[in-house]
Amino acid sequence: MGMVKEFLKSLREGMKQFADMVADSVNLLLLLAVYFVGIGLVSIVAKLSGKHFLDIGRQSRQSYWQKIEKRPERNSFYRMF
Amino acid sequence: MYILGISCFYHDSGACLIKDGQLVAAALEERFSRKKHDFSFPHAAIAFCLEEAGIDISAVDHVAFYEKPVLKFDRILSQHLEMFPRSFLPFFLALPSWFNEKLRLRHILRKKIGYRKNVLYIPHHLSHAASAFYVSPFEEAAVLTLDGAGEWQTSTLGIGRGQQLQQLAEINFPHSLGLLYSAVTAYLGFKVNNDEYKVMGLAGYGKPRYLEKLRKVIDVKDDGSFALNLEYFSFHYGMRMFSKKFEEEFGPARKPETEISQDHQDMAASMQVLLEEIIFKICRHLYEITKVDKLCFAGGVALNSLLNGKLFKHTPFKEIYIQPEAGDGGGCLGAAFYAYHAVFDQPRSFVMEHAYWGPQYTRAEMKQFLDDSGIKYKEYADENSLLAGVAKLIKDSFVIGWLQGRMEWGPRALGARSILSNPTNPKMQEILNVKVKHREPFRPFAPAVTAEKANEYFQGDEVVPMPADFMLMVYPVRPDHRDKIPAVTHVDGTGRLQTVRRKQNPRYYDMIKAFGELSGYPILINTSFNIRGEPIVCTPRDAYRCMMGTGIDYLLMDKFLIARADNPNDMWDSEQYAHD
Ligand SMILES: [Fe+2]
Repeated sequence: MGMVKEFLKSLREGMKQFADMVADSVNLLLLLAVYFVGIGLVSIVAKLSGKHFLDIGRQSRQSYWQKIEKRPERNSFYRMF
Repeated sequence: MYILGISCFYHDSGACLIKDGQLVAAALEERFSRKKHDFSFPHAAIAFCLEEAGIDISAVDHVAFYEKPVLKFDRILSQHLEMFPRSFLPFFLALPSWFNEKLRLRHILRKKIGYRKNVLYIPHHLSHAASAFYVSPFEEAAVLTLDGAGEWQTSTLGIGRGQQLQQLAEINFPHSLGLLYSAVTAYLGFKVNNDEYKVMGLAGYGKPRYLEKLRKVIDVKDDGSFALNLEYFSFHYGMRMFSKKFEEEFGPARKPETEISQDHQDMAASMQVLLEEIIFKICRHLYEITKVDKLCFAGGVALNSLLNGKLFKHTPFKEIYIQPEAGDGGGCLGAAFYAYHAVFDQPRSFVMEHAYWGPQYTRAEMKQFLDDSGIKYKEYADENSLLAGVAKLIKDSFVIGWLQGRMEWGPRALGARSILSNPTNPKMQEILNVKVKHREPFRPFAPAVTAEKANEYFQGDEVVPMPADFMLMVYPVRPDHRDKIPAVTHVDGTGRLQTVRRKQNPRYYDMIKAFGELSGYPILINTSFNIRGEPIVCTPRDAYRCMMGTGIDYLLMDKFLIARADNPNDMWDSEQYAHD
């Protein structure tokens, strides 16, 4: 009886490890697809049309402070963005 | 009205609870989980806050989170879009955590603590600003926040008036003074988000020889606004902070744990001087646009005590407030107070005058722990014999672990979880390093001094400001005292003092005074009570374990004095396991 229990326990652990491996592989494939297809395509199209997502240019300005004119609305604090 | 503030998922997670605008409790998660800079969901810190208030989660009216996760995700995504395909590795390492936790706060709150009501998301820099202004003694103040990065903002100027807190101007990622300082920290072979204070310590040994060269990496205007030259950096796409071009300009980066050369010291000094120059300019500009001479300062950069000690001399500000946990862990405090005052329009009535907001243990709990563990100890009969006895031990250069009252809020040990020793012994620095700290010889130890005597020994600001109570100001030690308190005098003649007022912590204050009566100096070495690489101790058990694993000679908790030598069976060597 003890041996059967031990066997079932090992089997369950093995199955779990296998399932984790499959999940990791699927995640990896998904991430690859998101990065190279999603991010990659948008990035290439943006670069071709001269759009930038970060302010990495080096144009010197008189001041780098950007004024904040708008005050946040009360409801905006309930949003995650 | 109960508001639970939470900061987590980046570095240093923490929680606080306020009741009707009064702070009830605040703590960092690392103290409970025993993982340094723990950034996971602050489960234990929340549990402590609720327990301290004697409530359960159903009594909490609102949760305030210290940033806007989707806005931050927008910035991260923008980095990847801009830097494709160079951002490949960080994308793979970071993205899963966004979908597993960072964007699922409501779900996590429900699952982990059973909270189902509203969540307020306060922008990161607004949380920083609020964490200083709303708990400051000022009705009106100019507010400066500087850190690595929040969602997009890295620097903001603002003004607080009564319940109102308004941001006036900002600089956004990737242009960041915090990230610049961290890049130099990494270049000097230290850990980012952990070792920035080592650069500050190292700066005392160097000359700012690289200052002119360093100006190439950042364009600074007269109003203190700045833009990084991103050719020198790689933090916006890579796993490293600085680029090849940075090394071409300044020479190869120092490898961790290798020897520190004069060049490294000079680089640290140059970075510190540049940072100070820029922040003095920012402060002068902030004063110009607000015309208010009181300053509230927050964000990781506000922990640069060397800079803080010079602010009054170089800027028009006359008063300053910095909250003990000015970094990200303190964001939860700002989020909660912002929600209460600005969102719910409630009046202010709280000033944070001390840092003791963590857990404490009763005499009975301590006694039970000692008895149950079979630890040999003695108990002082009264306060006077305790003060006289421990002052004598310190005078004889024994190292004392000190656990008293509520644990400190913030990264510094301030006399609740401290190691105390004798600053007048020229060998004390070496003794402490051999027995306990094993730290780099260039890092100075901090002096704790009674507030009214601070000006006698330090050339500080005429009225020593409250941040000095939180060890956030470095001042020169007066030249005639430098060789009398060598263990707390840095190579450049400065000390990162903690001023102590009796009303904040009577026993600690009396202890410093009692030592002063014996030695002529009402000053003690105060260093954090921890094993190298571990967070500061929290419980009596942590404290005892720390003493037995290091060379601390005695542990005083409440009136119990435990000698390490009396408990040889519990000795162990923490250095085998220590890592910075
Ligand atoms: Fe921050």
